Amino acid sequence: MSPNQAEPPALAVAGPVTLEEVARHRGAWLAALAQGAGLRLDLDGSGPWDVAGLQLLLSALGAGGPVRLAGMPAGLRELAGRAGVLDRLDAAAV
Amino acid sequence: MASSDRFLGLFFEEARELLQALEAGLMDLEARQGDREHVDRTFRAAHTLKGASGMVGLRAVAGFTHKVEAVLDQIRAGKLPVTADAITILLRSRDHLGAAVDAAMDGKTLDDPADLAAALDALAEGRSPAPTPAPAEEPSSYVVGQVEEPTPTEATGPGDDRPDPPDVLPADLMETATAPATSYRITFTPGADLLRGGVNPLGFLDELRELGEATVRAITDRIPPLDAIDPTACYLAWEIDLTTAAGRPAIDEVFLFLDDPAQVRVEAVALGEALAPSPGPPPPPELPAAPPPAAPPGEPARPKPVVAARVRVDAEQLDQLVGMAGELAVLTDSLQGLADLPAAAPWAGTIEALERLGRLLRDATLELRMVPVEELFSRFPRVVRDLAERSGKKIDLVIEGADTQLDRTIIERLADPMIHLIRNAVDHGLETPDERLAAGKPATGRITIAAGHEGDRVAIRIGEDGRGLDRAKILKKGIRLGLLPPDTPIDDPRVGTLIFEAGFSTRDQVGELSGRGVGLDVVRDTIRALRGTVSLRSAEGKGTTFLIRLPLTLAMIDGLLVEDDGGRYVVPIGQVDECVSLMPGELASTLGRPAAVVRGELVPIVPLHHHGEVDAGEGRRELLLTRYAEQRVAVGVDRLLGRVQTVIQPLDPALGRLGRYSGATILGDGSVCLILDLTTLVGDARARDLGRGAAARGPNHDPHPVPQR
Repeated sequence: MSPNQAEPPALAVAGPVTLEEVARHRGAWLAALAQGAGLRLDLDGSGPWDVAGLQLLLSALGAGGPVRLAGMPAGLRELAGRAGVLDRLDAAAV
Repeated sequence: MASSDRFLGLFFEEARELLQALEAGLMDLEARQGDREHVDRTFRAAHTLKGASGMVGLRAVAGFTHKVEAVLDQIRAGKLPVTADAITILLRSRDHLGAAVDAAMDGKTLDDPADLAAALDALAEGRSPAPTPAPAEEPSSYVVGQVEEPTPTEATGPGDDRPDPPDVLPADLMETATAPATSYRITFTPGADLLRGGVNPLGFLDELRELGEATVRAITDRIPPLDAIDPTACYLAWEIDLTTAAGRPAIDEVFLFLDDPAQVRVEAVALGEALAPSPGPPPPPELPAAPPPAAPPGEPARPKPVVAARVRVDAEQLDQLVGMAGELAVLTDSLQGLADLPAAAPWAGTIEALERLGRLLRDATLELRMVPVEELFSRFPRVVRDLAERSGKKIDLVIEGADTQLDRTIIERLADPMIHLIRNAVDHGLETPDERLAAGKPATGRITIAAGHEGDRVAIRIGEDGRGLDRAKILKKGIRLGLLPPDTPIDDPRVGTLIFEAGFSTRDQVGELSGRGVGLDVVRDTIRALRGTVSLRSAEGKGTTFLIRLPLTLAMIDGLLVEDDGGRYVVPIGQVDECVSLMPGELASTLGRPAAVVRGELVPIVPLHHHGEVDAGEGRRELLLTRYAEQRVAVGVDRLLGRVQTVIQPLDPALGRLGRYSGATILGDGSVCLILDLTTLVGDARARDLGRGAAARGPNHDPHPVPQR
């Protein structure tokens, strides 16, 4: 990211990101992305995660827009490792 | 996805039904192997059981069911013909599953019988199975709602109080590594509903990793962008390269409870071949973009909560409800007089409505207890099949009137006596094919079981067309045992009922199938305890039919209210053939005992109270005519007060031991009234008479007296 570009707005993701909550998080992330300046997801307050949450994250990353991840909790890293997608998350980490 | 006690409880209910469906399907499979729908239904019962047991962590049950399912799959693919041997193996396997499920209810695990497992594998692979030995021990009884216990090879102890969590692969499922390591490419494409079904796909990946060296690649290109994704659908797929010595079955076991096997593709790859990433996953199932579709495709991995047309009700609660409804009906009935009072005129309509509603409620709740006898009869084809096999006799079973309704409690308690009568029919009644042909009968014998309503009773017939009772033999033995006087003619009705006496068997050795000290006397007592009667008709050379008559329900009594010696009693209507008044001076006697003449027949009279004597001079008496041992007997009471229909209350155990009282009931005026059992009453009176007579005769008093004329 060029230092001249403004930092993308940060959205703190708090609490569980599982099948129960993914619809709500999707809404929040879409709303943040709609402002058009990319997004940084601060994940250190988030958890627990499950495959649905992980999939949502991959969906956000695959959007092509500049979504970055900060403060990935250990539980998310472990889950991503088991699912074989840790490298993708790491590639998007700040 | 933890198994909670509630899920387990639901599973056991479902498993029972599935096992019943499986058995029913198997029984007809031989005759209906061309019927695609029937074969599919039978397969589905096994398939659903496999999935459900896997869901609650009963891996052993799931694994064994998988073997049964594999055989059924071959049958439905037309690759395996259905033979009697195959059915026998499948039925025994089903029995084992029933025992395994029962064991699981107690927290135990049952080992798979090795010979049966091997036989199933052989069938599934198209080899002819080695003959499996018949279960060593004959089940002692069939009880509705339970399954017989075959001899388990070993029941592992209670070390496991809870079923294994399904996420970890236990060591026993892995084959010993005698085979060399093989490489596989596994493509796992979960259905869209997997996550919604509560299944964690990573669990499968973890298990595969346990089998050997695994490289996991996630396939994410099906995941839609954030603005298009349905966040609860599953778009992820995986490709796993696995090198393992555990063998292909171990891999299949990992995905055992995946409902749609099309979600997994396993290819063996020769060692050394470069495992290039495949071009892509297999064509995925239709994936929804947001919003999700109304009807999810495929079946979810977890049993859906079904909004069913039927509900399950706790039996005890139902009984309580019936009891309360019955009491309510009595109370509202007693309001009857109230409605006629002038002062109650404003409420007359309400009171009437209350009365009506009370009766309707009582009748409706009673109906809840009624079930068709089909529930009981459905076990019998299997019983007869096994008995025919063991005895070498050919038997046709005909069942009629299976939709006849009967109280649930009665049905449960009928199972044992009926099974015994069926065994009797096979063992004592029906002849071998050779004997039948020699007698000019068809080689195949016939057993008929029929149920129907007869007035306010249910009648159940169990008949066979076998050799019929050998009356001469029975008479001879009866005389020898002192049960009958030596001059008894052969057509005396008592000869037929002798076989109901304890210990009476005209076989020198008890029959292999039926004579285990559980005689027809127990059958008779069980049926009597249900306020029923059992009798028989027999013709030599033609066969024997047992007839069981039962009240529709045990909860209510339809009775006659009588008064005698200042006390009031209820007599079950079903026990009374008719009522006759005895006018003063009409008392007759027979052999020194009081009797009445009813349409030219001399009917002995038994007084209600053993200390009471029937006295001709004392005014009119009412006689309740009943039957005892095929004879008409009259029970005398002072007055008939009318008919009652009330709910029965059980007796205090102390009173209950006076066998003549079978219960108590609460009358409309709130008073408690005892219910008489006429059969026991008459029987006791006879015993006393004989006792007096025997005392006069000498010391060898027979404990099982038979009424003497």
